[in-house]
Amino acid sequence: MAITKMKFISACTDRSHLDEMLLTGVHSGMLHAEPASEIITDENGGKLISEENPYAGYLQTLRNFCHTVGYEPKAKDHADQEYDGPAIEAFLKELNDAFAVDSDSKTMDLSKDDEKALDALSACDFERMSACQYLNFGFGRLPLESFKKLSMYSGENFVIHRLLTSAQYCWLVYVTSDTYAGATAKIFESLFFEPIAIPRIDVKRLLSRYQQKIDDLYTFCSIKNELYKLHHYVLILNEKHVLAGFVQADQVEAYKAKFAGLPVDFRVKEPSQVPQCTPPTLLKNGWFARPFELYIDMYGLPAYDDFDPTLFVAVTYCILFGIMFGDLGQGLILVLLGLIMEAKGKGRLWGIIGRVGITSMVFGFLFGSVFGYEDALNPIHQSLFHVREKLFDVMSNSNTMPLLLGAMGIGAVLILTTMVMNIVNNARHKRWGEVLFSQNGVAGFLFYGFILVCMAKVLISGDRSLLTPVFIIPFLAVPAVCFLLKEPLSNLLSGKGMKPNETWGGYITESIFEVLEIILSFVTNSMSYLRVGGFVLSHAGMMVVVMTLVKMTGSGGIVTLIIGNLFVMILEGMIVGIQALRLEYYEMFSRYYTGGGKKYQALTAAEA
Amino acid sequence: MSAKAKAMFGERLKAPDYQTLLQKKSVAEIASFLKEETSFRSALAGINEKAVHRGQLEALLRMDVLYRMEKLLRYADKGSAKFIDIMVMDDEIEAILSCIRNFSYGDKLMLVSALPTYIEQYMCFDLRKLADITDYASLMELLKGTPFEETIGRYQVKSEEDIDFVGLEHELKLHYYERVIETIDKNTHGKAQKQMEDIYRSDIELDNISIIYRLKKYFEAPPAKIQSLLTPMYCHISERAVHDMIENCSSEEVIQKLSSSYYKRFIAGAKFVYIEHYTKMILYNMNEHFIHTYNEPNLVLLSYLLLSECEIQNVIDIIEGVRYGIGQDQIRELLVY
Repeated sequence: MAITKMKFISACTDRSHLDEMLLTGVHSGMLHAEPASEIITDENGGKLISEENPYAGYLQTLRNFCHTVGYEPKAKDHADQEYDGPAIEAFLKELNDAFAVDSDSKTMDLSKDDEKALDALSACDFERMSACQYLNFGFGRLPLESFKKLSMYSGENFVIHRLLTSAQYCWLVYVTSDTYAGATAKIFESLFFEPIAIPRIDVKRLLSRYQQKIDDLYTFCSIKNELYKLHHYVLILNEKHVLAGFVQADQVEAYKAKFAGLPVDFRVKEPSQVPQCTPPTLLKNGWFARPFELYIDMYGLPAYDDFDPTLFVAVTYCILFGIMFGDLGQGLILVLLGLIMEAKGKGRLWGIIGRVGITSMVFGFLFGSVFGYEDALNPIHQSLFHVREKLFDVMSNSNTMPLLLGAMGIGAVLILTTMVMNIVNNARHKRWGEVLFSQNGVAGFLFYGFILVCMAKVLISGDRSLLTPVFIIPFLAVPAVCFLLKEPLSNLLSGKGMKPNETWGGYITESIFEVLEIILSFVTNSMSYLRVGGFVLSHAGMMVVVMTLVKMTGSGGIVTLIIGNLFVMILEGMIVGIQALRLEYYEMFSRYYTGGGKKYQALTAAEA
Repeated sequence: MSAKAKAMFGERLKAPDYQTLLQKKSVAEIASFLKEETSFRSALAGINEKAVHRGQLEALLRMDVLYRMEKLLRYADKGSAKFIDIMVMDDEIEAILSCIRNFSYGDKLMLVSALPTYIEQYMCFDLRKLADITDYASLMELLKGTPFEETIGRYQVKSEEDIDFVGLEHELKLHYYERVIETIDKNTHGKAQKQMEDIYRSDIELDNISIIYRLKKYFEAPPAKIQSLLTPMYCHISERAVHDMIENCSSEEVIQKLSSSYYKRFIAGAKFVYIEHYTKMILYNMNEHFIHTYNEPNLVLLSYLLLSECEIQNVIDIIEGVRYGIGQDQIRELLVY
């Protein structure tokens, strides 16, 4: 339950070693690089690197050429040789000449079948076909229905060769003499022939000659282009080129070691010494809480100097889910399925499923429920807990109210806990106004806590002794005034005087409604936890239906049991999962968590 | 089979689909929509919609009617299978008439292009040989032993220029209707038989009304000439009423009488665009009524066949309208659904 400590590290070298330094930095996989423009300040006097990137243009020209001739260039790990500008330009010109590509060349929009047919036709040698003076060739797609009709033109002066057949078309080439070319073309046109131009050269054969060099040049230009793209991370400081960013504190030495053999100097600073850059957040949690980082990511990461709420979310989410989905057997399935899928790398959600399964099993055991069999664990309960039947019968009428009140009790405890967390967090940041006067601060804690204590006393023993001015004034009236005057009081504490940011009249009017809304929200937030009890009943109710169907289906009962359990697990599992998440986000996060962090992302070649 | 046919009818193009089709700007866009979004997806699977030719698209749609019938007949008994002959006969007659028309045009490319080779395995003569026939004697030779032999033989003339094309077409059509009624009588009984006959007799009757309207409106033809071109078959409008139309009514009065006849229930609120559209609308609504109301397999099959042909014709009208740049509203008026 922590946010990984970071160090700000700057690597400096001269221009001649810049490319190597950048490549090493990228491939280290440890650096969360900061754009140079963020680092530069008037004090450090840094400059941005400004060099024109010729390789982007070369790369684009090469890609256009490859697209035109239908070739997909392949980038390798490294280029076999170095190329300078004139050499690249000369090679590109050679390619254009050899493949007869000019700036007006249009890309042929061929389907895969077209290409297959063209490939088959290439056996005839495109250059030789093109060189024929008296023969005329036509190549293209003919609908199969039309192909049948070709037999009706058996006396005409052309021959055909079928190259490929699909469900709708056949691809063919026809040959005729120049004399009959027009008439033949008309026949094919009337049969809905879709002509495809026959290339003048055999691109594939020619490509096999140039392929290696194209790939090599493509690799060289890609790497160079990638390096140029990284230039926005480089600042020039005292004639030195600097690559700077955040590295995890325990990886600093390993990061430095990657540059061994390069003339690179390092400077390591604490994040607080670089106020112009926001340190990134990398959550660090143990086995149990790690998958729940997904929920934190979804809501927004905490700031670097905030606290990581993952463990709290993991524990409360598991408990809430477990209560609402209490079944020993179904929980076991969730555990097995979740952990297996997590081990297979299918995503963090499966990890969450595996963990909530554990609490489902725990609460399932306490409720005495196994795949809907509500009596299966009775003997164990009787021997362990010395009860007459089972520890807690969810479906018993007498247990309904305690269940719902218990759910509200859990909610009250969670609300108070999140208030404490909010107080501690704001105290760390010295936001005293929030600590003392806000609805989630000390004032809110006293107000809500007092109401809870009074309700508990009245409900349990009918004791109304706390409802006297001696207690009401400090625990209800004073906090209410704090809510009302939160802004002026906060301003007073921060030495800005007591005046609100607007006029007193407007402020008081607005604040009165806000106080009413705060009081109302305490009620609604507490009621919101009733759903926990509601879903316990709903889950048990659905399993009663399944068990009734099992009895009705007689010998097919086992199938009904399996399908019923699967149905409940999927439907109820999704609903409960969403409801528990809703409680986390809306009832708890809204009280203590603000997010606003920046995700730690080590620079990689692909991102560059 | 009737359940299957009704389910397939449920997948027909509906008003929003036609609206979408009308908004398309090219044949490629229409092909793409039909291929991706409608029940024609299997018929058009594998076509290159970017380059598909209008003619090929139309041919594929027409083929789809045959495939739909073949699909439905898998659920039918042998008697129902005879109804595919009705569909084929219509195409056979059209192919023969195209061949005769071509005697004077001599345009083999057009003839071959229009021949329905997809249905040739059901035909009673060798369709491919039709492309090489250039005179009446050869045609008679080809059709020897077929149901058309006698009719074609009656119109034999010394010179191809003397062929009574209108008479021959009329006679072939009569022959077609006789064969249809015969097939219905042999394979269907009871109420379904009556209703199926009703469909065709109505078709003939409405065709007669169209002839009367056109001859009166555009040719001011004398009653005797009109009478000679009609098929002597009556269904919901009596012979006397038809005779009255020929003798005493103007073209507008013919339409008035039609809209107040038995058929008025099938054209309530329909706008008169042109006479064939009007009669097609009646037949469409009549078949739709049958397919919704009855379960007798042969009746549902026949109604589905005729409704499918209508649907295909709608799409073809849209394709041609878009191809020739006709306005959306004008094309919409041609559609029957």
